[in-house]
Amino acid sequence: MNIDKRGMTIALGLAILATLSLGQMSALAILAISVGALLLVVGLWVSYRPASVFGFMTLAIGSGIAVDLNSLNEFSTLMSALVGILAPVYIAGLVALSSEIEGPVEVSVRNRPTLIIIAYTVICAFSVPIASVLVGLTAPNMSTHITMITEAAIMLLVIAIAVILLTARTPKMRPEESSQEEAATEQA
Amino acid sequence: MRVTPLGNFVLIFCVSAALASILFLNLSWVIVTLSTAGLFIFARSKFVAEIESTNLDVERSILDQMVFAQEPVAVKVSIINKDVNPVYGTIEDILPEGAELVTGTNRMAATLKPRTLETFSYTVRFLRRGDHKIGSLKIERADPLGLFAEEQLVGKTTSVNAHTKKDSFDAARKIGLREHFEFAGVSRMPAIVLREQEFDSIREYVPGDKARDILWKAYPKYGRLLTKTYIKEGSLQTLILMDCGRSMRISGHGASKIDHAVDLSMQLSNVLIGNYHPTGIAIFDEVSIIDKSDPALGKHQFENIVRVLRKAPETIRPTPGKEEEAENPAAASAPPSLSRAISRENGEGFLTAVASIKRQRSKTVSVDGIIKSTVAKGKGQERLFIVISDLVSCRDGVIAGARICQRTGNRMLVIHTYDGWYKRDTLPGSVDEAEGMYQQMIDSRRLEAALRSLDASYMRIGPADTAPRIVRSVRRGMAK
Repeated sequence: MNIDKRGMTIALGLAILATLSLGQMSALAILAISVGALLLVVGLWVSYRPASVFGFMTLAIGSGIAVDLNSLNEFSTLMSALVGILAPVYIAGLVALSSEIEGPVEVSVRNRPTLIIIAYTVICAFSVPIASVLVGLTAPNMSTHITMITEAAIMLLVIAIAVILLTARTPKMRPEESSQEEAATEQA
Repeated sequence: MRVTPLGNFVLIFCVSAALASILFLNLSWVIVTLSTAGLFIFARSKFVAEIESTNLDVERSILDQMVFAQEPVAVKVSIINKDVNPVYGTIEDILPEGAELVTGTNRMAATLKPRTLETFSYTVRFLRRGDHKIGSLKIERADPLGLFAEEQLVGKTTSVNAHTKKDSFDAARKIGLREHFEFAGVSRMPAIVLREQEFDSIREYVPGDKARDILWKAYPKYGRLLTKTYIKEGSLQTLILMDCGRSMRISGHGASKIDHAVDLSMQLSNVLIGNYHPTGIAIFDEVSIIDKSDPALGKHQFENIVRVLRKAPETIRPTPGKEEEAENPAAASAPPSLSRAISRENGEGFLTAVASIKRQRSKTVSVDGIIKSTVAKGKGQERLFIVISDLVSCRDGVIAGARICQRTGNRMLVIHTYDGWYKRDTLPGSVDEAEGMYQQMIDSRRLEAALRSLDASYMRIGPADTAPRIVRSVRRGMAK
């Protein structure tokens, strides 16, 4: 599926709506989200990546301020986080980083990088509930109440491990690309 | 694969969000960290997949048929992207050392769209003679999201053999038309030219002289008859032996001996062929004959000789600070024995191989071996052997060759590219240097005396000596 700039603008708009609907509308949050969105859209339409990346980061900060999470162990909170922060930041990030690409951008679910990122997101997002389950199974007498900082630490640790493992792979070159010598044909 | 500044910026933002989540005890920032890190991982995975699926076909062509040193050469590069993914980045054709860009550019920022052809061309100048390798095409590509960059080398290395300067060919042609090489004597192969006799001198008229040989113009002036005398001109089979040993190839501060030898060989062979002397050439180094062309006449013989000269190795120019010292002239008369040289520090395997070659007494490795085999095939015909060498590694072979020529009635001309005149163009800086130069000249004089005692002609030349001067010197010396 190919998506052009108009499609990316619409997707960005929907993502911002999701953030606004699920978040607390403080002045700071609204300011950050609106400035970020504006910068992003301007950078996208003039194909200027630094502006759109700065807009993306402002938007991400605004999303972080807007949506308040108490715990990642509750399903409703987790869904709010995924829909209100994760998805909008993903969409905004992809739109911002693709702003200098001329022509439509290909979006495909069936390729390897997309599958990797879906798996990574699911595992990291549900890492706290998975950790709670594991603690409950291995030490049933231990209390499963996890403090906020512990939840943050668990998820950050899983993110760090995933980043290290998934960025360790180096590309393998095709065998035809190895240098060979050929003599330039010359006629005496 | 490296991370671009934008990628580093995104990473810093990710880490800052993680720290903010800990400091402000806000889980929202953890989700922001998760999504930003996810973008990073997605960009990298996509880029790795694109790199692995890259399928570029590079074709480089040299548009000029003949490549000369210090002449511009046009190069055209065509790139076909056979993959479905575009390639973003900067493409650069890596030029070899000793080549400079003249016009156009060998570097361009391009987006190679899927299944399309891109071409660019430029002009390059090779500064010296020899083999040059234009390396593979370097692509500094960036991923579409701009977070990563990677350098790839694609395509084959193209080898280009640059002839000597074009001026040398022009000089060879002009010298060949202007200069005349005489050989007085009878040869088995009569000259295939219309003129068989060359004017020699004038003497008093003797009864019996032919009327057409009388110099009638001098009679009113001198009041007596004078007769013109002629010498019969024959053709002389000539073989030029050019030394391509390491000492010839090393170039110090001054000119290069081997480049000068290539130019001289070309010009001398043109003079000789132009005067209907069958000429051939053999180029050799310390261990073998690199290539050879037997003496012949004909319109393609000069091209054959040029083809052989193209295989002459290129000059070695030592890097600053690591200049190779030439063999000490004072010690040249007493070379170290092989048994002392073969030690663990000096590389046992290599020296053992060299010693085994010496023990085998290969008949075709040294100058005397080449002369012996040529004389054996000659069936008694008189030949001229012109040896162009600095007489560092093949001194003994040249002396042995002179002995063979003396014994078999052939002639030898030794053109000694005197090392001292090529290495420096300034006065010696110290007493030791001056003494070294003096000793070098004494050794050269001894060698000259030894060669002259074997009836070989000898000339000591420097970088300023040209073929016309050499031909005239030879004419004065060889005409006797």
